[in-house]
This record gives sequence, C-alpha cells and structure tokens, in this order.
Amino acid sequence: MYISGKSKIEATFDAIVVGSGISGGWAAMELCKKGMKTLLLERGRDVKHIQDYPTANLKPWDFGLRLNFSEQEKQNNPKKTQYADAGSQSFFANDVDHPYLEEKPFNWIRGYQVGGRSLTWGRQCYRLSDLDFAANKKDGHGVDWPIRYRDIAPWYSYVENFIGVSGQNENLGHLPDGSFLPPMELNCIENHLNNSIKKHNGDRLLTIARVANLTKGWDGRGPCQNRNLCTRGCPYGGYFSSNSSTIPAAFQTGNLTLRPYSIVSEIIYDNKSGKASGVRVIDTLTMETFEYSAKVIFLNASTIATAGIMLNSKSSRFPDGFGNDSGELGHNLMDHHSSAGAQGTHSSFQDSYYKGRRPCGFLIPRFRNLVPDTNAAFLRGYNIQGDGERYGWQEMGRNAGFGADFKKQLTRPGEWSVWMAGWGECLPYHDNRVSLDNDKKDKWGLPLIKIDFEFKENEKKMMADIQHTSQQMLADAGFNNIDSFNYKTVGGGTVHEMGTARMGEDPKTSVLNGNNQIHAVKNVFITDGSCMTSSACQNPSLTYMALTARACNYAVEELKKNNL
Amino acid sequence: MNRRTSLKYLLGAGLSGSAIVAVYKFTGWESPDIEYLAGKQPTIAELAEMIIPRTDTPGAKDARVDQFIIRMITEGSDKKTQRNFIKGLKQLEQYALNYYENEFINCSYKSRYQILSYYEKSSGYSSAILNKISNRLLGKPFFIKLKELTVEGYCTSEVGAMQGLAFDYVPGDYLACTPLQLNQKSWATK
Repeated sequence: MYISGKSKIEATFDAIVVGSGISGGWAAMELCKKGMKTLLLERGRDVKHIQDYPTANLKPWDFGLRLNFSEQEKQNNPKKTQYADAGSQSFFANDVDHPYLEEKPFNWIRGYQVGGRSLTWGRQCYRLSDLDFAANKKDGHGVDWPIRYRDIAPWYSYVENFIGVSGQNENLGHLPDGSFLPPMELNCIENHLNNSIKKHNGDRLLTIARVANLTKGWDGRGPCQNRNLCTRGCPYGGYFSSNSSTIPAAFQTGNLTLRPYSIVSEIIYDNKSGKASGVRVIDTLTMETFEYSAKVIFLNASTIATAGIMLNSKSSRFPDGFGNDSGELGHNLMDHHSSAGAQGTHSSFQDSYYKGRRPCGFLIPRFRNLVPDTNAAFLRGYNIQGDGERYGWQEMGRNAGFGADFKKQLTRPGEWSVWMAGWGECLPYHDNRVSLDNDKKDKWGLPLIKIDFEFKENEKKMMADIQHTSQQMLADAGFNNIDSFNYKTVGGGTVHEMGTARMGEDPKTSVLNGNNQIHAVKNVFITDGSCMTSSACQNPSLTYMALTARACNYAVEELKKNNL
Repeated sequence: MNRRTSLKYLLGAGLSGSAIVAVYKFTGWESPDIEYLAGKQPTIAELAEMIIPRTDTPGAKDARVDQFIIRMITEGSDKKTQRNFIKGLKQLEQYALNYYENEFINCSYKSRYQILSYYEKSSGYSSAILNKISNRLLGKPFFIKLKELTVEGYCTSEVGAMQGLAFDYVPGDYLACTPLQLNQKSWATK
C-alpha cells in the first residue's frame, strides 16, 4: 500500500523503517516477510522500478547538452553535478533544497528518493574479515567491534544469495569468498597485469570485481546487458537496488506500507516504557506533521542523516540526542579515500579489442599489513580498484592535428590503458563528526547538519604508498606513460560515510550493541553505515545489508520472546 | 611529483601580481558577446568541418556540430570560457582578414588549412604544466576549446556515434578479448 499527503492510514504499525535505500529496503523486506506490518518512510519521491527510469534507454544525442550540465545547473548544484551526469541526475539530491554546513570541505552526496543511493551505487560487494573486525582492538584506534566474522558470515551468504553477486572465489583469508554467480571476465590487458603482478609480487593477485550485476537471470531479474548505464536505473533489472528487488518483495507480502515525501524529524521517546514509541514525520509537500508508532524502529536514513535525526531527538532522558549516553553519537565519521593511484598505457595487444561495456573493473585485494608489522609506515590497508580499456575518442581527441588523419586516429581504438586507485581504510577519529546547527534551518524548519571531517596522517601516508605500489605494478608490467596521481578528493568523495553511531560492547563508548540495538533503547535498531565501528577498506554496502538482515532476524525473535 | 610541485612554485613566483592584473584588464569583465557567436554559426560549422571532415563517414557538418558548440558555449560554459571563445573567434576572423583578406568562411580551402595550422601550432605552451596553469588563470585557449567541443559534439551525435564510430546500444554479452576487425572503429560509448 502507498500513502501520501492527507490520506488517512492507521498510525500504528508493528515496525517502522526510516529510509528506503540499500539497508532500509532490506529491513522492510525482512520485517514484512516475517509477518510484521511495516511502514517504510522515505523523504523523497517514489521511484518505481523501470517505469520511473526516464533516461534509461536514451542515447547520448537524446540529451540537450549531451551528458553535460548547463552552467546554471552547475552553479546551483556544485556537489551533485560533480557526481551525476545528465542521465543520472534525477537520482541525486539537489544542493539547493538540501543544504548542509561544511566545517572543512566535504562532499555529502545523497539520493533522496525511494531506493535512495541503491539506484546509483557502485555495486561492489566485498566481505569484511576478522582482519577488519579485530583491527581496532589490535592497534587501539576506536573501540572493538562487538562481533566477529563468524557472526556475520551466514548473513553475507544470505544476502549474496538473494541479491545476486557475480565474482570469483580466490581463497583469501582476509577477503572471504562468497556465494557468487559466474564472474565477469578480465580483458587482455587486465589478464596481462594480473600475470605480471603474480610474477613480481607473490603476495598479490588481481581478480574481477565482485559486483551485484547479474551474469545470469536471478530472482526474475537480469541478466546484465553490459550497457554500463546502471546509474540511470536498469530496465533489465540487471543490478540490485531496493527498487528492483527488496521493495517489490516487501510489497508482495501484503505487509508493507510505503510513505514517500516523509522526513522523519525525530524519534519519540516514551519515559514510562523506556522505549521509543514512534517517529514524528513532516510531509514535505504539505508541511503537515504526523506521528506514527510501532513496536520496533529501524533507522536506515544513511550515516549522516541518521545521526542528524538522533541528535534532533531530545528528551529529558536524552538531552544530547537519542541514545547518546556515550557522547559518541555523530562522532567517528569515516569515509574511504580513493584519491591516489596510477595510470599508464601499454603498447602490446594491438590486435585485440572487446565488445560490450562491462559494468565493473578489477580488484587487487589488500596486501599491506596482513600480518602485524611494527615497521609499517601506516596502519591498516587498502585495496586497488581499476580497469583496463583501449583509448577512445575521449583520449584521442587530445591528439595534435586536424583533418582526415586526425579523424582517422580519433575513431580507431587507441592504445591499451589501465587506470587504478587505492580504496583505503580511514581510522575512526573522535573529532571527525557531524553535529546540528540550531541557528540555521532548512525549508522544513529542521536544523542544518554540520560536517567536520578530514583525512589525517595515517590516510595520507597510505595514499603515498598507494601511488608508489600502483606505479610499480604498472612499471613491472611494461606500461608506458605512467602517471601516479593523488586527486586529494575531499571527505565524502568516495560516498562511503560510516561510523556516526558505532557498535561496541561498552555503552559508555558506543551507541549500538552487537545486534545493532541502541544500548539504552532496545527497540531501536540502526543498520545503515552509521553502525560501523571501523571502515575496513572494502566497499561497505554488502556489510550493511548483512547486518540489517541479521538485526531483523534478532528483532523479531526478541519480539516473540516479549523482550522488546 | 616533486618536479611538478617545484614547477608550480616557480610559475607562481614568475607570474607577478601586475601581470595578472594586466591580463584581467585585457580580457575585461564585460558580458560575453553571445549575439556575435550566434551570427557566426556558419563559420563555426566550417571550422568544425576542417577538424572532422566528411570522408567515407559523415563529418562535423553532417553531425550538426555547430549547433552543439553554440549551445555548449551559450548554456554550458562559464563567463570566462564564453569570453575566451568569442574573443578567440573574433581574433581568428581578424587573422583571416589580415593575412588572407577574407572572412574565414570565404577563404579557400588552402587558406583555411593554413589558418588552422597556425592556430594548432600557437595554441598553448609546449609544457603540459604551463598549459594547465594558463588554462586555470585565463581559461582554455579558443582553438583547444573548439577542438574539444568538435570532438565531443561529433562523437556523441547520432551520425558520429553510429557511422563515424561503432555504437553498441544494447551489447548483451561482454566479450573480454576479441580479435581486432579490419578497419575496426572504436566504441562510441564506454
């Protein structure tokens, strides 16, 4: 059932899920499948699978400025236009209506619609391992994760089996194998680089990316058509999103009520029961306020927004924000860095090409600090992601000359090239944080979120190492014109925000327990990126989904036992 | 890396404040002469055709690259780029008048070829770093911008993508390593 505007609905549900992105969609589906009458709240508009992907089948020449933005659009939306193009822009929140404050430069890239950023995500799916879950404990940064790999492993499988992940098992302890569909294929230059890396660095390998793009039909979706236009929404259902998968599955149970245009302004605390009674919602179209109540609340508004909602939920019990006994709420914000890497060209394989636009690249799994090394220049590690392709007009257009010869070069395959960069772990720093500025309000009267984040010495040293190792691996493989780079992208640039309501054993130093429950309010669960105790270096969405499924299972078990 | 950084510093020191002021004075802050641009559409079409001529496949004119360029300068560029482009176009016309006694559009093919050769040679420094810094301060030189837009306009147009290049609308499979075909064109989209 859909509700919007003034239509009357029951104000009481078994469960409320705040946010319909990658983790909220999972929460809604799991709770609905377990028989819970569930209200799914989304601040943005509805986006129905296929029918609301207006640009999905457009060709480059169907757009006015091709895939470019107008100058006015760029000026109005300086953040959005860095990350979207004319084809995907309707799935990125505009900067005008959704301002935030930057203590230091930070790109907060949001997807305010049903499905959230699951429509535009990078689709990379990597498991964390005990190297990651034990990292904080080992080197003393942040607090220890309250879980280990064995706690989440079955849930990784559960999620992979549902969403469909293509990938190659590699039998690595620190990057566990999964339940994969057939892998996508490496091309000539990538195979060459892989062979060279294995030869020169016995401890490293290169593998095809593990992605939620379907190499065969799965759950009534796909297969992927290799168009590489994923971020416009896929009319083939070739990749996983809330819209294509979890939300339809939730609807199928008959237990889901979806309410778009609904900003949750706060969680309501009930002193008598010591639980959350429900949420307060602002209808973004009518500005009316509604209250909905439920036995269980799942917060999945995304790392920064979830922290914002909790900080704005003040009561006599929680004067500093909901569940914030530890004072850690909003702190320990992390994002992966992905600025440093190297690129180069290769003169071999001139007689080989490829057909199709594979929607992913390759991965060189983490190889630094796999065993404790007191001499290491930095803590933790990074993986390297990249792809190989032949130069096209985008690069050949920079050639000298004009006329028929220039045109011939422009329209023929150029040299092979590889671009690759390190996706690096970011330590949890207490002073990287989000807070609210109560003097500045958005158009719905909610205080603006202020973000204070920077990468520090450990990340910078890691970036230097990434530049060095990437360059070396390309040189060893015979690449030419090697350029090692550091784009120095500001925080938020990888769009992997995490950590603002971290999990931990101790209520004095963490917000959530090992089941993603708020320590002091057991009927509120947070399973988006804010729960992350450390960032590891793996793309995090798979972990959010697995933690969500696990927490939903736990929540329903606890409800049955009358513990919530 | 270090070499690059030190080069930047050298340049920063070399460009004194007065030089920058002089440059801005010269460029001016007046509104870009968009009307002039619109009137020059046939000239832009000829310039683009010189860069990507019709051969056994369609050329820039067939792809209506002139329309794309004018739209990109008018709607898709900041004021600095607009001013630079329009100023550069006016200078090119002046150059054609001075040396070939004709507006560009009335020049012979040979004269046009010589004019473009002159611009190709004189656009930008030989050093990539110098170009980067110059572009940031002054905007991209006219001819560089013209060539960029011509390439993009052509390669993202229907005839450019489908006939000049190879356009694979719905590939279906991904074939990772295929033998290069005779006269293989490159893929229009990535």
